[in-house]
Amino acid sequence: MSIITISAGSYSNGRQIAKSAAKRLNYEYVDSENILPLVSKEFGVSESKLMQTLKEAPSGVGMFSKTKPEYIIFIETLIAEYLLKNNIVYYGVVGLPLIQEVSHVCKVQIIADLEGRIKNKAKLDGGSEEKARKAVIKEDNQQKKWSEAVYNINTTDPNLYDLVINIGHIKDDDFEHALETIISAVEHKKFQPMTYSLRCMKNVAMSCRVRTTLADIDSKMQVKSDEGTVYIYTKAVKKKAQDKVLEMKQKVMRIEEVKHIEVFIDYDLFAKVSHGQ
Amino acid sequence: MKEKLEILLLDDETIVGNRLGPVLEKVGYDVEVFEDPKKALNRINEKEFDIVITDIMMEDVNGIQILEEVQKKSEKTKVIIITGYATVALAREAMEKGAFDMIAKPFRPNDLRSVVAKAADSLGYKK
Repeated sequence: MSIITISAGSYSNGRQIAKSAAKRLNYEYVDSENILPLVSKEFGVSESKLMQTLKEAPSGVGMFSKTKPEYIIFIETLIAEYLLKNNIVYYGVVGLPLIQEVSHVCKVQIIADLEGRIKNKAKLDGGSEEKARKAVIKEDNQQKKWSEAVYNINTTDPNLYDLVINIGHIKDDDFEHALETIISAVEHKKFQPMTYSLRCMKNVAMSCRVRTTLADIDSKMQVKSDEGTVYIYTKAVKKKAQDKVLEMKQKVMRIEEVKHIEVFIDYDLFAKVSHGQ
Repeated sequence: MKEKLEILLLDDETIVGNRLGPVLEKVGYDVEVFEDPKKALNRINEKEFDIVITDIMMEDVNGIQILEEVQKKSEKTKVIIITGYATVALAREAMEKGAFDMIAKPFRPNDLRSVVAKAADSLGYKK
């Protein structure tokens, strides 16, 4: 009756563990990649562009190309709405910081020995271990840069997870052990959904939907929701603030189940100067 | 099986009991409302309630202690936590210790009614 999120470094067999856990628990399996066709269909962005957004580290901290932050918001929204269903194993890191406060989400991190991951990569590619080493290290760095740029977090930080499993050298018995650990953890009462945690998940999904709706106006805004009341924190220059608030409210009120909107404006000092205010 | 489901409602804020007590009575439950957790504990020791609804942050005795006491007394009793200080840690602690459900304040009377109905259902009562 819960949700399990699993994240892992590349070639750690994390995806395989996630799929096996879903099968054993009779849960649905979803990852940030197989949700892309749905995102593509709803928002009219090509799957290749979405995929690139998930993999490519920004050129500098926070320096995305113009449309990428919107793509992340679109993907997060569909993932959050998917997670409303429960009984799901989600593999990936997109949206992970958003569901930190949902108590029925059991967050699992799989870590594996670097040498084991290199061997795994070399075996999969049929190439040399030296080449595989460079590729694995490169992917680790990309992943680190990506999560720092998008969420300002380090996804290898164990504090983000309820359960960290070191599968060591990635042998078959390590795999089984990891699977058993995850299954017994999620059966724990503390990960059972309750009225409060289901409401938290619903609020997360609503906030994501609002960010998606307003992404063309401001992709960096903060949104919080509670039972249909939406709180939007954005920046604007004083002159245009009223119009911006009105535009936002009109758009957000069209979302089903939104009852009330509060917009908080932080008057942007940089914009003030550039507009000569 | 008793004809009426017996509920103990504990919240140190008078307004909560005044508002929710009648809501539950109207549905047809027998409700005893308490503001003082010590008095509520004494009553819990005297009588086995079907459902205990308790706030968390109260002076002297908190809702988790109430939950633990109810669990000691009767495994059958369903405990519903209502709190204005909901966190992941509290939610998990409450579930781990055997709470039936937890609702964050503020909530609509209907929200509580449906959680109580779920608890009643799990006890075999049909409304």
